[in-house]
Order: sequence, then C-alpha cells, then structure tokens
Amino acid sequence: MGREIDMKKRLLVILLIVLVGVAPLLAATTYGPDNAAYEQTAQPFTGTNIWSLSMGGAGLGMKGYSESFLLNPANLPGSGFKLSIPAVTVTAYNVVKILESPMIDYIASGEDEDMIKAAQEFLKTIGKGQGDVLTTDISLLTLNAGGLGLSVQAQERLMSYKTGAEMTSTKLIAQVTAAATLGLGFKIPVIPKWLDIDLGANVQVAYKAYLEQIDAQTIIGMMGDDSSDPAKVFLNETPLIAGWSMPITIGMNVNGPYGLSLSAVARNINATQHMTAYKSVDDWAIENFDQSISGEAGHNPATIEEFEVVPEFRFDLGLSWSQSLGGSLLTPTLSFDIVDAGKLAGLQGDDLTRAFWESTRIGASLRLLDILDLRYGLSKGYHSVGLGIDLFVVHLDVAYYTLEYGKNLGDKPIDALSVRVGLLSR
Amino acid sequence: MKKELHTERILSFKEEIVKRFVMPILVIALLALVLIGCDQDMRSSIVGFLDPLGNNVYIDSGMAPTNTANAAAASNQVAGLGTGESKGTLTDGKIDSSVFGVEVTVGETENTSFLAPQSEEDQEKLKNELGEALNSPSQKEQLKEDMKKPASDEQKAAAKGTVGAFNTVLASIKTESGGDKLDFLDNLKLPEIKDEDELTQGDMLMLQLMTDMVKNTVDTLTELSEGGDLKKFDGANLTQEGINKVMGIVDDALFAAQMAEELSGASSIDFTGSLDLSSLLENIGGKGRNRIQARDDGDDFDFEEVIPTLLGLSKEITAMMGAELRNGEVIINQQKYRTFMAMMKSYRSSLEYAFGFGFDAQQMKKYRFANREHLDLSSLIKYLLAVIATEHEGYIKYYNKDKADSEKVSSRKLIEEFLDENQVFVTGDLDDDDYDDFELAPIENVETIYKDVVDYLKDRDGEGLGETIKNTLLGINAFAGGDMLAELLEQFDLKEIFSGEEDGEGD
Repeated sequence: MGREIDMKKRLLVILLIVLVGVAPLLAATTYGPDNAAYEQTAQPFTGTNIWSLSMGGAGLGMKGYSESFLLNPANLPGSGFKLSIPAVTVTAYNVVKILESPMIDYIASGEDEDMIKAAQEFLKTIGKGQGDVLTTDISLLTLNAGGLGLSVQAQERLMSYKTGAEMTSTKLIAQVTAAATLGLGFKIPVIPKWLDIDLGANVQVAYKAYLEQIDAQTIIGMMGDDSSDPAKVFLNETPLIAGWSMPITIGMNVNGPYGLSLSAVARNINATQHMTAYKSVDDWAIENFDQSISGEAGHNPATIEEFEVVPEFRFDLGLSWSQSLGGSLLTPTLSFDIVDAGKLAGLQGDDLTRAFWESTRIGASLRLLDILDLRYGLSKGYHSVGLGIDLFVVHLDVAYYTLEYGKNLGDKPIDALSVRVGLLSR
Repeated sequence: MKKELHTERILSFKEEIVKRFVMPILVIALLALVLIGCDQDMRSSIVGFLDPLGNNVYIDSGMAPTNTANAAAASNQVAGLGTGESKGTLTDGKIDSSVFGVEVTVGETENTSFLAPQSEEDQEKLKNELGEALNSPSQKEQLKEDMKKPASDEQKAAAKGTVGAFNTVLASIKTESGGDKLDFLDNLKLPEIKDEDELTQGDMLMLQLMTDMVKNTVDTLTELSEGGDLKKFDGANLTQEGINKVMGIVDDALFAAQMAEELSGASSIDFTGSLDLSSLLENIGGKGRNRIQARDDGDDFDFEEVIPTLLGLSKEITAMMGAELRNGEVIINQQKYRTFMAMMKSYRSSLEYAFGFGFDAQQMKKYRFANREHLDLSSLIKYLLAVIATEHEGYIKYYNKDKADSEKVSSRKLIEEFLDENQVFVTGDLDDDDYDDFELAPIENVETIYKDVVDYLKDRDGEGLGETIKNTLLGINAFAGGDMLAELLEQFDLKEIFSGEEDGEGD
C-alpha cells in the first residue's frame, strides 16, 4: 500500500516535470524578461498558426482560413462566412531528438522505474538556452462574417531554459494565455477588377499567467522527499505571474491583377503587458476572485512585484500570389514575407545580408480538389513541410518545421511537429 | 428502384461519414502510434527523413555569413593583453601603488613586465564581448579556437612576470590588512610558469581576469575600510551597499570560473545526465528514507551500479585532458594537458575565492549575481574534479621536491600510464557482462610514488584545505538552488579520508 502511494506520488511528480513549474523562492529574483529565464514570457501572444508555420512562417496575404485575419486583419474583407468551433493544435518540440532517444521505449515498457528514466531522457533532449517543450492551442471560436472577425483562443505553453550542458540545469516554465481578438476590415475598390485595397485592424485582449520556473534539482528533491506535498507546493508556495495586455494590429493588402497581393502589417501597437507577480496561485485567486483555490483560508494575498513589458513595434511586409486553376482543381499559392522589416534600416554589408535572410519567410502551397493541401517553406533558411486534409466539417493539418531560438542564425534550431484538428470551417 | 436509390444514398452517406469523420481520428491515432508504437528501426527511418530538414539552407550555401563579431572583438582584446599600454613594468623591482592600489616590492627579477589590471571600462567591455560570444554556440566555438592560439613573445614575457608580481601583490595586501582576515586571497596564488612556450591566448585571458579581480578586490576593500586603511576593514559590519560592492567581486570570480569551465571543455560535459536517476532516487529516499539514513543503516554502496556512469564520464574527462588512443596506445597531448590543468586551477581558485569571503551562502543567495547561472549541482562534481586534478599535481611536485632529475616523475606521464593500462576509461567501452569482473590495473611503482599521500594531505589540511573545500561545496550547493545535499556536505571532513587510510580501512 505504502509502495503504491509512493509510486503514485512519483508519477505525479513526473507529470509535474512535464506540466508545471516551480523553483525555490529567491528573494531577489525578478520575473520579468530582464531575467533571461523569463525572456520568452515577454513575447506577445501568437497562437500556433499551422498553415503559416508549414509555409516557413509566411502568409501575410494568405486568405482562405478562418484564422487568416489573426496574421493580417486586412485578410477579413471578402473572406465570406467562416465559423470554426473548436480547433485543437498540439505541438511537440525536439522531435528528432525524442525519436532518437530511448525515451519512447521506456514509456512503452510501462514500468514505474522506466517512467523515471523516460523523464530523464526527455530532459536530456532539451538543449542549452531558451526553447519550447510542448504547446497546446485551443481555438474555442473563430468567426469571420461581413468583414468582422472574432477569435477566442487559449494556449498552454511549456517553455524551457537551460543554463549549461547538464541535465540538472534545465528549468521549465509553464504559461497559460487566454485571448479574445476582434477584427474589422473593409475593401476599397480603386480600379475595378485590377486594383483594390483591403484595410483592417484587430484589437486583442490577452491575459497571461505563468508559474515561477521549476528546476531539475527541485524535482529530484521532491521525488526524494516523501514528506513533500506537490499540491501544496504548487498552489501555496509557487509564485504566479499574471497580467493583461490589449495590443492592436493594423494591416493592409494591395490587391493587384492575377492574384498578386502586397501586404503590410503593423504590430504591437499599445501592446504593453501589465504584469503582477503573486506569491502563490492561491494569492492570485484570493486577490482577483476573493476565493481560495486550496481552501486554505485566513491569509492576506501578497504580491511580490509589479512590472510592465513593452514589446517592440514591428512592421512586416509580404508579397503573395494565389490563383485557382481549372476551377478548384488546383490552387497554388506563393508567399514571401519580410518580418520586422524596420530592423533592416541602417544596416550595411554582412550585417544587412544576415539580417535580411533572418527576416525572410518563404512559403508555397498547392491545394488539390479543395481537399488536400501540400505545403513547403523556408523560415530563416530552415525547411518546413505540411499537409492538410479537408474533409467537409473536419480539417486535419500536420506541420513539421524548425524554429530558431538562438541569437544568431544556426545557434539553436529546434524542430517541431504540430497537429491540428478543427471542426466546421477551414 | 426508388428504394435502391435510397439505399445507395445511405451507403454513400455512410462512406462519406467514414471518409470525413473516422479517417481523421485514424490518422491521429496513427500519428501517435508512429511515435509510441514503432520500433527503433522505424524511428530511425523517420529521423532519416526529418533530420535533413533541420539543415539551414542559407548557412549551408554561405548566403548568410556567420556572425562572429563578439568573438572576434573579444579575441582582439585578448591578443592585446600584456602588450603596449596593457603591460606593466617593474621600476627598481617595485610596482607603483597606482597599479594595484598597494605598493609592491617584487625585488630583482629577470621578468620585469607583467599584465597590468585593465580599466573598469576595458574590463566591462571584455566581459560583455565574452558573455555575448558564449551565448552563441557558433561564436563560442570561434572564441575557443581563438583562445587556443599561441601567445606572442611579448605576452609570454608578461605572463611569466605576472606570476611573481601577482603573488607578491597578494602577500602585500595581506600584510597591509594586518591580520588573517584576508587569508582567502591565498586561494588565488598562481603557480610558476615553466613552460611559457606553450602559453595560449586562453592562458592570457585567465591571467588577466585574475589580475583584474585582485585589483578590484583591493579597490573595493580600500573603499570600504575606514580612512582607506585596509587594517580597519571590517567585513562583519558592512552596510548593504558595502555588501553589494563585495558581491561584485564575487561575481567577477564566478565569471572567471565560467570562462575556465568553457575553455577547459568541462562546460560541454553533462555530468548529471549520465546519472541513473531512478537508482539515485532509490538512494536518496525512495522508501521513505533519505540518503543519510540509508547510509547510517549500513547499506552497502554498490560500485557496479556506478561503473557505466563513471565510464561514460571518464571518456569525456580523459578527452578533455588530451588523452587519445593512438595505435593501441594511450597518449596524452602535452599542450592539451597543460591547458586542462591551467583551467582546472583557475576554475578551482575562482570558486574558492568567490566563497571564501566569509559571507553566509544563504546571505549571498539574496544578491542577484550576473554570473551565477552556470552553477548547478554538476558544479560540485566539476569542482571536486578540479580539486583532485590540482591536488594530484601538487602531490607530484611534493614528491619530486628533493629528488634528482632522473627520479622525478610527471603527473601527465603517470596518468598516461594508468590510462594505457586501463584503456576503458578512454574508450568508454565495457560490455554489461564485464562489470562483475571489472578491476583496475595498477601501474608499476605506484605504491612507492603515492606512499606519502596521507602526509601530504595532512599538511594541506593543516593549511585549511579541508575547510576551503567544504565551504566551497556548501556555497555551490546553496547557489545551485537546493539544500538537498547540504546535510551531506556539512559532514565532509578531509581527515576522514586519510584517517581511514591509516587504519587500513580506506579504499
């Protein structure tokens, strides 16, 4: 009986390795992006857009998907009526390393001891520096109608930060974001059938919460200490950092003949994130909802610090071409985007060349019979491939791609596999 | 006819249902099975397909030039150390007080030049460039390659002179302070450079970081002493601002330790990843006990269980030392071994210096160090490795002290001989079946050479070796984020090691 409880506890801790984060409370720790461990938490919320990712991250001018307006609000006009409820996208990172490691064999064996080894092997797949481990996106509702767009999304993201080569230097940070985006777009005809302009704007309300980082030593310590209570640790002893933002995105498409389109998108306007670090999840709940989650009453909620994160303004440019051939028999699409074009200004020589290629996103897709999509792209020079199967009300998409997490190109590429299942509109 | 048409439509609808609803579910299940169900061969095939997709077209084709600006800037600055204006010169065997903050009399010496401390701006610039380069794998590799380049003749002369000047500066500061409160400075003492021809840019960098650290220490302690008199320095009654200033020196030491770790190659070894976590958990409390309790209960330590871990690590550690198998014989590259020893010495002395200020480790945790990130539990292993390597070197010097040249032995040659007899530590190859019969093959005359180890360790312990090791281990453990091993480390006692030997109980 005792051994059974012991094993259950260990399995719970293994689960926590993968799902949640905590580290010892250090008085001088800050939870903002000035602390390298939390740098990724400052990124403005972007849901996993599997179509764009499988096309090398390109697709500013790519219409035809219910979530196209989230990339560029100018994609709303003429998008017709689209309704998607719901869609789930799961992304696993370090796919090749996981496949190469014996982790899967350990999991398949089902033995408790092997599960610990599997967790250990899993931690070893995480490389030095920043990265992602697992992301789950749930798009609860996406609606396009008459130039209006509405999207309600939630994302669970498990990030990693590793300071050295050692497994024990791994730190995990769990973050949950909920976002509602309202978009409006309209078309301005300039020369009928030859030239028109789409304009659009999105306003997003995002609420983000992440737990203090958990490190491998803490987990090992918890596993080795039978008296520890993980539930208490996570609810009552782990700082939670939470806050809101209301970023605005403005986009424009200049649509020419033969399916050509030039796009420009300005992002991160009014994107300041107002964050508060609470002493625990329970403190956050009491402060915001006057309700204790753990049921442990009788204490005043405490906050550790308040800070603001101001994401840099970004200006993206894109060129796309899409044409239906033979009705819906074949629809090729090509996209070429330059992300954060503003940062190219003032650069020269090798710096300019390097920055240009780092900013480029190139993608192509081929739609067959309005059922099957084949996608390929280059994101900062890394290949991406994707497949979409459109089966009336159910849509399945798979993408395999590589993202750069390092400061320089080639520093820290991480491969990822995303699978999306959506209902109703594409 | 109508009924047939209806039936046909129903069948067609069912086919649609199967096609549009069941298929996706099957596809998802199949994808999951690909990951969990398929065997190693199939996974290898998938990897074979996916792996090339991770290549970068722009880098491979040369379209995007690699950014090595920070590495190049740092290397340039290092190449200038000990030359031109960054070179100090002895005047009548003395160093002016404006250089280190105290007047130093080195005396008559052939080496009149030495590495002068850098200005605050230059120190900051160098650390920033190095820090940026270390954060980028491509730049780090470039930097490590640059640091292997030989020092110039001017730099070699300055490096040789630095040892004498540096050690004299340490002694002078201690004298100025008028007591034993700055004894921890001894941890920084540099060994004499005998093989200056093999000095590299990396050696110059480490010497400069040490020199800057001493200068910063003198400046800070003087500033915090009443009337600038080091004798009146009172570490126990510092204001928070004063503590923060001292912590800045500790941060310098942690940075130096990180550089030594990077340049030695130790930073790329995953010391903890090779541990069998499930066995470890079993040992540290899997059955409701902690490790201490288990030991007290008289559980035997099973050496066989750690052999695979040791072999996995030893292969990387011996490679770091410069050991390689050539024509069936183990050779240790002299230059690589020298670099390894120099970096181990720097790593050890930087950490001992950082944790030697006498501040409580828990108190130090409250300060936000820029360079503490690289410290984790594996740093305990790395530090112990550095202690073993440097103390072994120290013992061999002790053994050679009064011997004729023909009788002297070299630590590198001894390790080379040992590894040649036990090549498995270099190759890491040992079948599971061989673990039971695994035995170390001794080298000739080993008992004669090492017979005085206990006396040597006793002498060293008398100089505070055991206390320094313990304090440093506790400091690293406190910084590493957990107090899991604190109880165990508190029990560390160097005397236990040699008292066991004397009683014939040691292993």
